[in-house]
Amino acid sequence: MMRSTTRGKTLLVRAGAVAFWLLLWQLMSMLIGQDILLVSPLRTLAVLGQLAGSGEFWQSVLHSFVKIAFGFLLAIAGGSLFALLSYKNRVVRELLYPLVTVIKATPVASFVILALIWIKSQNLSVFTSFLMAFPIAYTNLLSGLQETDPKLLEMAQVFGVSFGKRLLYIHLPAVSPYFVSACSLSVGLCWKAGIAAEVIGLPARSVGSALYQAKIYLQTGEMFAWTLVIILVSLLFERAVLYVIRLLQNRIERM
Amino acid sequence: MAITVTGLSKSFGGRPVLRDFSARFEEGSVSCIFGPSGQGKTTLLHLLMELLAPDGGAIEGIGDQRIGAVFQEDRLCETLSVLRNIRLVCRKGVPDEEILTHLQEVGLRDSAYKSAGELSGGMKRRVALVRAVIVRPDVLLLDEPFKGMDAATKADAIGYLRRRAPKATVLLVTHDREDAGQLGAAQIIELDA
Repeated sequence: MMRSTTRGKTLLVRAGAVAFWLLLWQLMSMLIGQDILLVSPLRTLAVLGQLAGSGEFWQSVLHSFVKIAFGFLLAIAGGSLFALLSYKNRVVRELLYPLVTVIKATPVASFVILALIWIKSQNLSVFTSFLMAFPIAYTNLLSGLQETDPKLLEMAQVFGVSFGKRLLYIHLPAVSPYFVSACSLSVGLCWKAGIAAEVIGLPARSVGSALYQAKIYLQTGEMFAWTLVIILVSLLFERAVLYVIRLLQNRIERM
Repeated sequence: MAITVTGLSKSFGGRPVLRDFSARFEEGSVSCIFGPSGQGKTTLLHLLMELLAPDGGAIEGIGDQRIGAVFQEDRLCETLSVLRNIRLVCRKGVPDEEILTHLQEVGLRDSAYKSAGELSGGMKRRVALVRAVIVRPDVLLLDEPFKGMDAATKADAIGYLRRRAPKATVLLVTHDREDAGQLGAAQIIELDA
């Protein structure tokens, strides 16, 4: 009862904060008085409503979502695999160190422009979101594996526990918080970088292309509406990913 | 198979912990190891478990034997259930009912589905004991296995140990000299400075 009251209060405070910023945005746009410079939240919603009525809108959202989500999932899978290999083998760890450092430090724009030479613009956002999420997944998971309680591993060694069981029941609980943090951090970055890649590469029927078109024709309302779509889809995707992870965690703990 | 330890020594950071230790542990016998803290009791068990490499000396006869162990710490996976903690070390195909019977014998059947983190110190110790015994070990290496248990619980745990691992070669590190008598120890080893 007390917990739900506290949760209710938190939600109320958060809703109040959102309302404050929306109100400030509305006031600013009214003060400026030019939609081309700053469109109001109400106008943004109206434009979004118009856009949502067309099939092309949903095709663009679906296209960008599939590509970015695929890049993200590929990065999480690849990051997990290479973190495991690096944990088991120092040579792999040392080999990957410079590569991961370079990926982390290279600007998205450089990758996108280079990648345009090698791959089709349709797949650019897969590549870019992969590059954003891979170093985060790899570094976090490797840290988690290295943080595994060595005393539990010694116990497993003495009892001859198989590698699979060690991974599932000893490493996984240790890695779990790092994994959640990696997913939470990289989902947002994937969307930012993926859309940036689409703005540069202009693949057909994508959110990035639509955003670029809106900019070319100075349709500020559409730019704001598309940005709102990106934020909403990114947040929903993050929530869905974290929900699936929680389900898996509960399932493993109950096994 | 008997275990023979000859001239075993181990140092940590230049400080000798175990010096020229020799002993023979007959197959199926119980040996109790006493001594003040820091005299190498736990180190000896870790050397027998092959968690440490000796600086000198040799251990013979333990290589191919199945080991069950209770460590100085409980070494349980805190987020996993008691049942899962024990299943972790079991061979494939061991039914839940068998694990539950073992837990029943140490008074923990009702706690089987609780996570290990919810248990008291004495209860965790009993889970660690079941985990060591259920693998049907040839050699049982026990480091203060009855720590945190009251007299009655300890008597039950000793009874369980004698009933379930009657043929195992047991090496028991303890501070309580009465344990040696209750377990019918054939050999008492004093480790001191």
